[in-house]
Amino acid sequence: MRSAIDAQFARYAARRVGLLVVSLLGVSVVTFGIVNVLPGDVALLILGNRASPERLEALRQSLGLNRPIWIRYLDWLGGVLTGDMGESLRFGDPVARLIVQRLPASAFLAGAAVVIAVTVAIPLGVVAGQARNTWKDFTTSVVAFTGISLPDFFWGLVLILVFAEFFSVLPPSGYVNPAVDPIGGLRHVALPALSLGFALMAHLTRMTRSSLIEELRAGYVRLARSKGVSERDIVYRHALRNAFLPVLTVIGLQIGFLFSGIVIIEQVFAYPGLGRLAFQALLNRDTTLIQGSVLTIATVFMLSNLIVDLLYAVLDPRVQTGGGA
Amino acid sequence: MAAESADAARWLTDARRRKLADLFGRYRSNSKAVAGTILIGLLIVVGVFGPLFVSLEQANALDVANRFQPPGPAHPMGTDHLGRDVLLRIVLGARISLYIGGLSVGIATAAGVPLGAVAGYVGGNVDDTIMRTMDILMSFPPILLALTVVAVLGPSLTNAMIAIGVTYVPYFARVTRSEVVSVVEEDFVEAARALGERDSRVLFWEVLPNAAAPIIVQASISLAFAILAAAGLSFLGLGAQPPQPSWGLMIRQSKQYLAQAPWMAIFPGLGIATTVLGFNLLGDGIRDVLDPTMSAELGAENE
Repeated sequence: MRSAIDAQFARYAARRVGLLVVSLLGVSVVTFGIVNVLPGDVALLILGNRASPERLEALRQSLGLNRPIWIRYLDWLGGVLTGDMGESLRFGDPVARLIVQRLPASAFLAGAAVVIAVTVAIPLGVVAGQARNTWKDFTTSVVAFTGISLPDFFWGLVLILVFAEFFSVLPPSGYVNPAVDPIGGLRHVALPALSLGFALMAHLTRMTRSSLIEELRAGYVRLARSKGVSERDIVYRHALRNAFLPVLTVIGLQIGFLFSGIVIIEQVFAYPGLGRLAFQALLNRDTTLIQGSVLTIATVFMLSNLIVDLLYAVLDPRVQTGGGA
Repeated sequence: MAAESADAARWLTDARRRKLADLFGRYRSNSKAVAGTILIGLLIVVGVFGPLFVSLEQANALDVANRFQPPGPAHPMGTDHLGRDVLLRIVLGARISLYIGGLSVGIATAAGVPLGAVAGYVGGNVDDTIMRTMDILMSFPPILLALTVVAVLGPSLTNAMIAIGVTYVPYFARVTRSEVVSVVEEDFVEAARALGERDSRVLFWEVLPNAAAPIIVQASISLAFAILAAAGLSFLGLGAQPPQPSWGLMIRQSKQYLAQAPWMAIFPGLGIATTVLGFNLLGDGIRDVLDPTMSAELGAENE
């Protein structure tokens, strides 16, 4: 029985990974395509308006811009597969190195945001779900709806105003590597992570509340109550465990917004992560860097989705047969 | 025979009227739907009638001597770094928000619904091709795709709307497809086909109207996201351009003066939050009203 389930899970996982590879190829085509229909001549951008036509032509030749687009695509894709994403037109550094430098900062920020959101949202949702229609529940709802409705950058500005400008307790910008200086790292990530995690926290609170209420109505809970199991055990040992699936769904649905938020929040806090790198590349029309960073962010995004889906399939085996893709 | 069909027609109209009355009753007793309607109604009133009382010249009038005035009788929401009245700009910003929501969700619906409908109705390779393409578009985090598209088209409010619209096409295609797939199985669709109706007619006149409920819900929730995304793009400097009184841009401009003139950020922030809240409540409410089975399942959410 167990091995049958395992085999089924393996098949499901294999299919999902296969789909991921196809999607990745598609994403690379779209990214390359969008960037290469950018108006503006890259050669002109590098050399400036005063460059002679001969020098422009020579640069186009050396960058390979005169070749057909699909050849350039295959060339680029081949490079990407071997870890070579070309060189940044603006910085001259290898794109892959720039990305590897920035990736840990963004991962730390996103991780901190998720941790904050989950540790705040689950207890809040439980309190609200247990004390339904009381002032506790009402306050939680107000907090949740505020989180869903406020733009993350606005919330970021408010946090800077209060904690950096007014109380001067936390730095308003920058990044410190937490592996080198854990306290400094946490202090620098606190405000951006709070801004980024607020919306996720709000969605999670609402979902925890409603799925807990649902679970508390279930037959097994009534049975447990009649057998004298304490309310605390019912909530924490039984109902909450079953309420976890919908919560996981919310996290899955919100990952995209978390990644979108990273681009904006890193801008607000001058946080040197991947989102800021991609944004600056877009402003600078740094085509190789745009291609590399956008592809990387999309890849990490898809991998996170895959992990959530697989986790979901492990927790709820029905997903594997029900076409959960 | 004629009398019979007249009876049938009368029975149908009665049934339809009862259904509408029932929907309206449920709508009125749904507090989220009512609250959402009030908030969005307010936005529409301000957005439509505000410009009759406030001109763009007034809202952009510089008065440097009176800059950074805190909220008071002369300027209920204060003035900004150029001495412009924040209230007047908020009023005109409401129309921009309506424009943002309408255009981007309009684009997403106009492209996503037919794509999803055709995919669900035709099936097979067409379905696979369309939906795999949608999957690829969905593999980008939403704002990132919009950012890239704006970078291609150049920064402007309209381009930002187009970019956000494109980003949301796959969400509409997905919802529409899954509805169409289930509606196509129904008897009345088979009957229409058996009567020899053309496929395009069956799809747009028989199938789609019966698949509308989740699409409407998706539209309302997407409006909330569109307003947030547009505010984000304007905040990054890629959406509305100065001196347009867009709420997102106003927050961008307030950044340097935050400690000095927080009202420059607070009022546009409230504007965005109210609008987003309104569309979210409306979307939740409409879902409950149009789909009672779903709200029964998720009953806990509405209490």
